[in-house]
Amino acid sequence: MKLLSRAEEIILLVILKLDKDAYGVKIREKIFSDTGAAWSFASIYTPLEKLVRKEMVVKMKGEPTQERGGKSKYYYKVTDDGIQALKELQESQKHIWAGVPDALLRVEL
Amino acid sequence: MKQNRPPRLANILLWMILRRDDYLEKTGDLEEVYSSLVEDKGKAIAIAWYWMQTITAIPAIVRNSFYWSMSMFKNYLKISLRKLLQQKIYSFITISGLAVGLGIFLLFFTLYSWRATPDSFHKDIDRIYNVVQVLNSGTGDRHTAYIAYPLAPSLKNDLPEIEDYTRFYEAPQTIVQHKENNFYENGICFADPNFLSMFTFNLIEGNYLTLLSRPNSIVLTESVAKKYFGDKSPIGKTLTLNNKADVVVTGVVKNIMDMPSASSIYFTSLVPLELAKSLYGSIDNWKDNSVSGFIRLKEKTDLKQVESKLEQLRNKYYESGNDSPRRLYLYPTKGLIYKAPNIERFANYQEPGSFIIFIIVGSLFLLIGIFNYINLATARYTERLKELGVRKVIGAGKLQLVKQFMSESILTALLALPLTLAAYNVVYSIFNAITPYMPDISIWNNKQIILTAIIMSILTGVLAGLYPALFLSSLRPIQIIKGKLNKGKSHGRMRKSLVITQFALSTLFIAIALVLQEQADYIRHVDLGYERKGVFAVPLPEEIKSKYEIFKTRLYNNPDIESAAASMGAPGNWQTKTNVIPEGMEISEPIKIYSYGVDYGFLETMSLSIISGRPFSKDYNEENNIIINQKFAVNLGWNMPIGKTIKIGNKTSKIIGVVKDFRFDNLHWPLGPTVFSMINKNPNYLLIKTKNSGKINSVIEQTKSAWKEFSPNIPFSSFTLENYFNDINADASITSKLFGMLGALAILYSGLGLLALASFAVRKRKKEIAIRKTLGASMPIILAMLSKDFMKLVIIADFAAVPIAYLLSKKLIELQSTITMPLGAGVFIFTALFILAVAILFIIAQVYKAAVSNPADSLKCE
Repeated sequence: MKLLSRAEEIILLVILKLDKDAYGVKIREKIFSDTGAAWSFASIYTPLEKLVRKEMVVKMKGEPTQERGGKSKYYYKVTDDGIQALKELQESQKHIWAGVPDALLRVEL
Repeated sequence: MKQNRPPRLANILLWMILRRDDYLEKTGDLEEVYSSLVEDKGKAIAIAWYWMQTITAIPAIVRNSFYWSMSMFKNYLKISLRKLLQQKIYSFITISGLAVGLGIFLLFFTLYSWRATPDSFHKDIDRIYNVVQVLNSGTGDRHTAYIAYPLAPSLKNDLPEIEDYTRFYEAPQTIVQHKENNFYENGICFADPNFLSMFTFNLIEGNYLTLLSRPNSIVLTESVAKKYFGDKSPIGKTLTLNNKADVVVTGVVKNIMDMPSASSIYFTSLVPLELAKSLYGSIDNWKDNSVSGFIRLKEKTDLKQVESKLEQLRNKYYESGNDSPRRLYLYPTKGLIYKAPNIERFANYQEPGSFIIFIIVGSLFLLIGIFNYINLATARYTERLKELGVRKVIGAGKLQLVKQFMSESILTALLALPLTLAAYNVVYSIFNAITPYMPDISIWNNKQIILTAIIMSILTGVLAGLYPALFLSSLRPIQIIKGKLNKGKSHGRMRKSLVITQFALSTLFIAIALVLQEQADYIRHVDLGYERKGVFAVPLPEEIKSKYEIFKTRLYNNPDIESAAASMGAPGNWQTKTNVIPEGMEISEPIKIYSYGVDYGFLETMSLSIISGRPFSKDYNEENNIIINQKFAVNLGWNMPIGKTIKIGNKTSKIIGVVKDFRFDNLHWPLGPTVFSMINKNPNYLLIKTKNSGKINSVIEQTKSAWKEFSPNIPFSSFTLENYFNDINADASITSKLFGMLGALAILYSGLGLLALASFAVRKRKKEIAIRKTLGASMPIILAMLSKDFMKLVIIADFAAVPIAYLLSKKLIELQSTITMPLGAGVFIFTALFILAVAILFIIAQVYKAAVSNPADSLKCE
């Protein structure tokens, strides 16, 4: 199985953390607050579309709001496949990081 | 709130490239951030940010939408291929049908474009002009591209705008000698050394710069090189021209017909102009208008300015007089072959409209192919209605279904591509075999044909798929699923009219083919006022010409030879003309009439009948006597022409006889006034009439051995007048064969269309047929019942096509020849019945199965 890309990983985790409030704007804000990097919408949508295609997230239409010019929010939810992929990624992370000699790089997981 | 709206243009952009759902999501997200940005940082920054986001999103969006359409397309492709493989025979018919239609269209299109872009293969052709002079013809202006030998170089000297010039001289018939063999060559032309660098004809062997630099060189075209030297390289070999000049082959160019496009300039070999002077006397003067002059202007030259300078130079070169030009002007050389028929010139004039017929015939064929596809496809889709219904119910929109059927027909057309190219090649080689006038447009030498083929395939796919796609996608799903398809009348009408069109076109092609064939036969046997049967001609080489009379008298020893006579030409394609002024006529401009040089016994040998007066005879001095034809006498209004005089050139001649009208020229022109005079030069042919036309071959053999005795070193050649005549008038039978081939293909197509229609009808009426059979209807009755509707279509097609075929074929034979057969109804009735018979065969083939089937089979299935 192919591993997730970094962007896909971050987005999946952010969606999980946002839980019921995971839509485009919030995802972008959360990424900014977690990583300090301001992503363009394009760089969020591209991995998001891919995740949708791989059925790791599902998209649901929400209620329209005033500040969106009367347009609906679209919420994202991580599927079981998404969780599974994250688990696999975590597993291989462990293997990759295990046995790295430099004590400075050792992380507690 | 209103001022907080995001930039509309950006939204429109997004709206165009995003699907609706995505558009709402993305712009929603953007607008949410945007409205908070407006409050925090101001409108300008917010707008800039919005645009930034939009533009950076575009590549990703495009990639994404492409992914989705591709995945749908994959599905269409899979289904289409599956269906094609399921019904192999059907698929073969549709694919090969499209391929043949497309192949023929491509061939005609290529032919058309070969002709429609004349001279485009010369590098600077847009800057090359012919010098044309306007002369006084007595009755008006005479425009001629033949100019005085020194004119072009003088112009180059005096006009700085002229970059270069070159000249071209068309020799009369030249005798070419190679080893023992003598040949007459008609297209040997003479040109300045730079001719082949100004006009970039495709070179096969040799070096452009040195081709004609030495005065004793010759450049051959491929076919001439092959004729004399076979497959060996001719470079460095020697030929002798007119028994006077030895020339060395320095290069070979492609045949003019095989150039990348039609050419205004025609030659079979090129020799330096210098040599023409020694072979054909002095042409190097200001008096004779003998050469064609081409000049190449410098880039960005104003043509108007040059022409106004020409006017001044004219006064400088010529004294004012009756012979000097009234005006000089420049005419573009490019495309001259189709332009300005009033200018006398080197290039034959061809009607530009004459090749539009290629595009018409090609398009008709493509149309038949497409109709065929539409007919078969719609008939077959009725079997796929369930699939359609399900797709619709699941939510496929009209557009999606259209896309599906479109991709299916485009796929079919693309699958047909290899077959298309094969069909192109087959039809091309057939054409090549039938007609000698085919340019080199094989696929191997014209790779752009493949590109055109691909583009045309896709276009054909779209065209062919349009109707089935629109028709099927417009069906209502509930009807489809219920199986209660309302087979709209308009749909049936559409398919019926397609079949009618196909049959009408078949009738048209077949009728024209038959008429042309009849015309060819008619011309072969038509009475032209002289007897071809049992007469043969022996071309006389230079060495024999002066001694021909001795040989001629020897021939009379042969008891099988009725008579023999010498002449300057051979009947069939003999059109030498001369200027004459009849006595008592006050005209400044002489009349141009046919002039035939003959000797004693000619009228008898050709079986021409004298109406009044007498033929040439050895008992008189005939040097200043002439014989005219009836037409000439009628034209002049002379009831008693015998004894009157006519001035031919500077010589006044007396009429001693009038012959009944006859035709020695080829039949493109109407019968013209003609004069016979005694040969004053060495003759070109000996015409020999046999006593018994059945023995002609043995007489030719006897003549050959007599020749061998007479002059053992000079080769003997001969041809019968009948073959010669048939070769010259082969056009009608060539065109007939072409139309015949197209007609056969058209019938096949129409038959297939009918087959599809019949199978559709049989399926629809399966139960009806079964019930009728159980009630006692016999097989013939059912056959008749099923066939009736289709026969109606074919009969309508026949009736529609016959009048058009009549008019068209009449026009065609009139274009080809001035002698046309009386056009009767027989051919057309025959064609109509023939088409009807073929149609019946096709229908019965399809319907018979249904008529003999066990009714129980069709009734018990529910």
